[in-house]
Amino acid sequence: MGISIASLAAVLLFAATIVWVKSTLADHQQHFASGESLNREDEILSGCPAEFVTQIFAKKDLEYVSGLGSAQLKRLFAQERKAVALYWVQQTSAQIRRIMRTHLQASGRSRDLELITEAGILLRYGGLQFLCSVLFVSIALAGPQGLQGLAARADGLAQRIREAQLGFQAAKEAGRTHSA
Amino acid sequence: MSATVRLVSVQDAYDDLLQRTLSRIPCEFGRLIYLASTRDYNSGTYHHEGLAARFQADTARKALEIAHRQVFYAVSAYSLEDLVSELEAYLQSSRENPEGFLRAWQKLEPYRVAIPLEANPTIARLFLSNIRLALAILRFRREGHPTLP
Repeated sequence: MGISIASLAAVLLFAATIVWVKSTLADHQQHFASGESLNREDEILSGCPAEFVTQIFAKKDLEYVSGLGSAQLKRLFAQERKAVALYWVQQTSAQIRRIMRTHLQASGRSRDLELITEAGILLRYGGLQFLCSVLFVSIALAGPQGLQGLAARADGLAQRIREAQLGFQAAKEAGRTHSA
Repeated sequence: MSATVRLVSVQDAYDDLLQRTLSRIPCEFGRLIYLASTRDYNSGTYHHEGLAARFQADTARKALEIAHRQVFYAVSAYSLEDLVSELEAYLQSSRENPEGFLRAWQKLEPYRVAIPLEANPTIARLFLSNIRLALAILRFRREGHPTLP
């Protein structure tokens, strides 16, 4: 029994990984087509505002569409909202990965590293990436509605990493000005 | 010109745009389409003859850009139900044949040009997705089935 549950979980995880890789690749190609690239420096440090994250994962719109009494519209809604939610998860995960890369490069050159702060950032990063994976699989399997709490937690973690990076940059700038 | 003076004049141009032009457009969605139409397709820069004559062209451009972004975020934050009402109000104000309007909008997706250049990519996705849904809902209300694009 225990083995069969573990096998099922492994199969699900494998399937989710394939979906993730495929949609990431498709998404990457779409970026070139639509010009929605996230490479701009100002975009790197700003995420999607929390009110929009709430909207993507809320049940209000689903209730409205369900009330219209069309199975086709309900299917379209589920498909559309799932795509937006998955996109948000991918964007958040990719954005924080980029921020961490920049942070690690900068902290590697820094002489006055605070180990506790650095460990805290790394822990938050690990937690966020784990939450993003859980969210991705859950959305792909059941849709985004009902995952508002988890999404808010991931959004909060991402925001704290962004703020930590901004703080790190500000401290570096201040140090540079002071030494000059 | 100092930054304060410049900010004040952008604020003045913005207020002027709200009072003289945007307040005359009956719905927020109409204001969004109008503001997007003041942007050049090739360069992505905004231009408004009257506003540029009253203020400097650069100031007018900045005011239009800010107004566009604000209206875009306001429309993107609408619930689906409110967006359907907005789109319906816009459809009525356009005086076009509703069937033709809905068919053209579902096929050509002209609302894509309403996204500001620096919009957050997730919000842009949400906006496009919600418009697609609102169009399908309006079509469902008129024809009894959504007729997906």
